[in-house]
Amino acid sequence: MKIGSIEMSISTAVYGAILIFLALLLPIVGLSKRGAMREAWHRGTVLSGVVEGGENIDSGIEACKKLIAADSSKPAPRLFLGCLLGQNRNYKEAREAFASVEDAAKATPEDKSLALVGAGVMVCLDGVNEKTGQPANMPEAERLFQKALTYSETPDALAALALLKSWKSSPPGPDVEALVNKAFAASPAPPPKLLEQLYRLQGAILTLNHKAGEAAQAYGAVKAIDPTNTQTEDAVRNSALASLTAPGLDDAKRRATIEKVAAELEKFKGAARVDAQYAVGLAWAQLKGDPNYLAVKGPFEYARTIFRQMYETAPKDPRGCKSFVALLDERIEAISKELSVTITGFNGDVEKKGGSPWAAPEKNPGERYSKEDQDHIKALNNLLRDQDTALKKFLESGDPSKEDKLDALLRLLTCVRRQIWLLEPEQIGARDFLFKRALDTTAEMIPLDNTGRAEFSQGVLLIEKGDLAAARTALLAAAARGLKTPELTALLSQLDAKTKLADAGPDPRERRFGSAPLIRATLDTPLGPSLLKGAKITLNGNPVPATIYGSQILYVPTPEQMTNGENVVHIASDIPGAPLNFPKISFLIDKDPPTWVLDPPAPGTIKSDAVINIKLADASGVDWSTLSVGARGTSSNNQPYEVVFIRDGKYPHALPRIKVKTGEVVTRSPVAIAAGDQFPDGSMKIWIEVKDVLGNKLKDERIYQVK
Amino acid sequence: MANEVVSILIKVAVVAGIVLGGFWLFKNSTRATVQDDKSMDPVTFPEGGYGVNTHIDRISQLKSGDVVAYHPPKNSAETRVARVIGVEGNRVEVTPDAVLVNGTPFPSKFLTAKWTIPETRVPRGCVYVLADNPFSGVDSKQFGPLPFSFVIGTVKPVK
Repeated sequence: MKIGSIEMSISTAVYGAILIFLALLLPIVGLSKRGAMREAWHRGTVLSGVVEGGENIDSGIEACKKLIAADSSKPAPRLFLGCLLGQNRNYKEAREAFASVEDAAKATPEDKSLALVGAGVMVCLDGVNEKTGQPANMPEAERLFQKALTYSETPDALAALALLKSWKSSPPGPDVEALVNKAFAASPAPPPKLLEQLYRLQGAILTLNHKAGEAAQAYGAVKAIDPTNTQTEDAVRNSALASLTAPGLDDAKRRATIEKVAAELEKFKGAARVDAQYAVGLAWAQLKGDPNYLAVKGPFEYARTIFRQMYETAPKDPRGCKSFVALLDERIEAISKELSVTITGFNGDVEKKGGSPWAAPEKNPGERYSKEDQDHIKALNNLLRDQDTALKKFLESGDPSKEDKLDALLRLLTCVRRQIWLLEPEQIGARDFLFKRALDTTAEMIPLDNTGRAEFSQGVLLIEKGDLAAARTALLAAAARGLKTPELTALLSQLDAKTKLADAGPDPRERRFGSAPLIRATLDTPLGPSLLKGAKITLNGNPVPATIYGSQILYVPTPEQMTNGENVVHIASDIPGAPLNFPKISFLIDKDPPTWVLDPPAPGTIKSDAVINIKLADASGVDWSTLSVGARGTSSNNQPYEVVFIRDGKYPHALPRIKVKTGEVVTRSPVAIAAGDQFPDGSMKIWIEVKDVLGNKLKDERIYQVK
Repeated sequence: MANEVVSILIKVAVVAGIVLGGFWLFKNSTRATVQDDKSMDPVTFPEGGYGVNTHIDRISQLKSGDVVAYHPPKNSAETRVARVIGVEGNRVEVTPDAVLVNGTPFPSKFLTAKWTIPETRVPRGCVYVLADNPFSGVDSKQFGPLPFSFVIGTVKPVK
């Protein structure tokens, strides 16, 4: 066959037909698949940009734009374009690219939801706080995320909204928790970065809900997604540490958890180690219900050891020292309750006994307390010394903040005061030393505190020390700083009040004092009887070692210290802030027997019928029952005679001439005597024996010549 | 004439067969060879290395239990081999005694080690890969879920 000038064989025709078929088929196929072919052509470029970043991003952006220009109905190029622009930190254009997905004809609800999430993320990133990572434009982002959820509740939209809300409200609320749970339940799974953030948020929520174990799992998942994330390791550890002190955990489980974490303490590095020690210590301290709490290898000792390690290895961290001191405080309180005696500052507020002349002699130091109490006091002293050491180390080695330093000084002051209260009366040197330390501590506190509490503490301490003037100054300074407490008001009022003499003796009106009177003064001291310790007593101008017992001053003078007649007692003190200077009190001392005067005077001459009056006088009073009066002499015929007119205060015979009956009692001066008939002429001695009420005896005689 | 047409058709068929066969071979060829690095002990591979089926272009083509060659994300110059434990959306967990996928023990005898992974969801676009030998290999323990873009292809061990 010949077609024109071309000779056509059958084979030529067949091959030609095949070629024509292929020539027609290939363009048709190419045209029908050109979209897919274009995508295939650009896919590598786009993916390189997304995965590898760097210089590939720009190529990827160009490729996406070409794909969008070629077919604007497809959402994928717009989504990739948004991602690439975002990677290039071109957030505004990225947001527009994501937002444009809504206009893509072939976009599914899932595509639109993802695109709006992307747009919301770009809004957040546009102006994000680089330091804190806090998103910007949160209201607008939230609007976009909410809109994304209206298209489809994709895990991305749920997670994005949950994360955004967690930034808006801290701590995350129940709505955030619900969104997190929903995001985890949704399918498909979120992309890696979003899933990681979601797990992190879940961990935070669970930690807040005291579900430390589950929180640790969530943080573990974060670590599983990004094993290089060291922050997560800390979060996992912190979550494990939080589980140590989680409420509601039974002791056995808590102990097991503590032991596990304690065994891994070495794995905590740097500051995390201190955190871990702190948590473990607190957890041990929580096991108070353990029957072996105080055993050698019990929770208390473990807690004590770990807190000690903490403040020794990290003295700048105040938690170690504070926890250590607080732990010991609890123990001190427990031991104090077991004391059978009251000790100020521990189980009551009792003034220690002073030396009373009426009380039993003070016991020896070793005998003051029972064996049990001695053991308790020893334990208290040990605990206080440990507290003292820890606080000193913290203050010296650490670099505490103003608040921490003030807190430590306050605790130290309490500790030192307690040590003072535990001292024996004989330990005067130690007491002075501790008082000085306590005062130094308050002096250190004052510049740090502007509330007046430091001055108040100093004032109280000075009152205890007895320096009332300085105490008053310190308390006034506290008030000037604005401190207003009932205690301060009461103390200032008491310091301003004058000490009064409530009672004094011997009473000047009483005159019946012998050679050993009890000198006493009872004082009304507003700030307590301890103020009397500095009081000085003089007797007739000479200082005497009086005993101060409570609010009483007592002294029994020796006979040599007193003079016959008026004796003057003076109580005075130069107690700072409350000087005592009471009016002098006086009393009389009677060392003389009664005196007698005869009327008619003797020696002298009397008639035989004379009536003799005897006038008796005594400063303290005549003891009439001891009065005996008689006469003896020799009559003119040399006959001796003796007659008793009064015997032991009574007339043994009637004396009608002076109207005295037999047995009449003598009660007052003058005392009359007369002869029953007549006194015999001659010399006559009138004798007298009488005592005063104090026993001073008069024995004397006088001579009359009777004519 | 009929014989001539048949002869031509046969020739065309042969050419078409060669073209299609070549395409099939291209699709199923092994483009990479990886040396055994003991990461999959005790699973064995052909001596002298093993081939990789690189024609895996969708993550949905992978499933739990597949052995894949991949570039570790932090070091894309390296090529490693590990087993896919979970694909996107799966929940994987490793305890000292077992590897669990969605709560079910993974049917493979991993050597035991003391490391653990709490239950974690495999993110979208990722697979979770673990070397059978926990003492050798760079896998998701080190870099987390493996993005699909780092997967080179599947590897067939010797049965």
